[in-house]
Amino acid sequence: MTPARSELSAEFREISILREVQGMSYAQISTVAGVPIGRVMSRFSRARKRLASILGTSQGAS
Amino acid sequence: MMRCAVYRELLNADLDNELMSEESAEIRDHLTQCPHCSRAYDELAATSRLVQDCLVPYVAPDVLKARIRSALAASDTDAAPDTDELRRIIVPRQWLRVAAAGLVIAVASSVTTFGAVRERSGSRTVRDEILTSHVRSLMPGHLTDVASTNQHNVKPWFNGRVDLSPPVPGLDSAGFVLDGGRLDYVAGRTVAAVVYLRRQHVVNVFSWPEAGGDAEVSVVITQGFHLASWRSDGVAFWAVSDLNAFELSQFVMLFQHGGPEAKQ
Repeated sequence: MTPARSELSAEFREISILREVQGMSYAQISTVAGVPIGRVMSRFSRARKRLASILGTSQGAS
Repeated sequence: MMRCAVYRELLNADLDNELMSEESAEIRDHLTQCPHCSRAYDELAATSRLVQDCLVPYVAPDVLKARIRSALAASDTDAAPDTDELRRIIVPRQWLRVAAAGLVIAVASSVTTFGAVRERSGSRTVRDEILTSHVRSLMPGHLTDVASTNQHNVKPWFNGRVDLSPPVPGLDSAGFVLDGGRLDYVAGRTVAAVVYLRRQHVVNVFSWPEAGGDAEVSVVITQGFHLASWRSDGVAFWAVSDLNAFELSQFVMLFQHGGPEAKQ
């Protein structure tokens, strides 16, 4: 794992922790992180893709 | 395929139970027909499970809570809060390495469970009810109807009160002490709840008869609680606790096998 791949950006980390660890809904994350719910969705979608490639759970399906 | 691109955008939201039931049903329908989207969904579910399994929810100590509150109070009068500083406190920098360290164990358990998670994400209302019952049980005087550390007192107590005889294995030697049992109301029926204690943490095990084949254990996290569910010999089980995923999984394994010294 290269240093570049071992880090998530702060916005991805924030959203991933609020969702996966705290179990918050998108609406709650929207309030806590202060971003519109649409952006929570798109940001989280990118965050999970990034995590999949870091953690090796992606098999390369596009 | 054009439709796939649209569905791909919604897979995450579906996984997180954020879609309306009609949208969710449409996606589910598509997943049965499209192996590519199905695989993408499985990958997302595996990733989510892996992160959830590896990261432990920490409750901030009172001192830290007080510091954050006073920092926020000060920021009301000052300029904007120093969000970078707050992030440093809230988000441990090394969290991803922790996730990587748990990879080997978690991959094995994730692979076996995410199929089940997908199948049963429709049972969200049951999950919510289970969580509500668990939280209610923690309020003073609500935990047990029959308080006993002896399984031979607790098990017969359910006779005639619910339409099954719930398993009440003795798990003391593994550090899960029986505390008693009670009746609860979940999914429109009276169910058995068996209560165990681990240190000061409560584990509620709900069970009721349910048609269908056996189902593997799947663990979800909601509002800081872990909920493990499985089905065995026509009985649905839900174990709920604020224990971490590892300890709850350990509990479930012991419970399923009838305890550390069971000779079944």
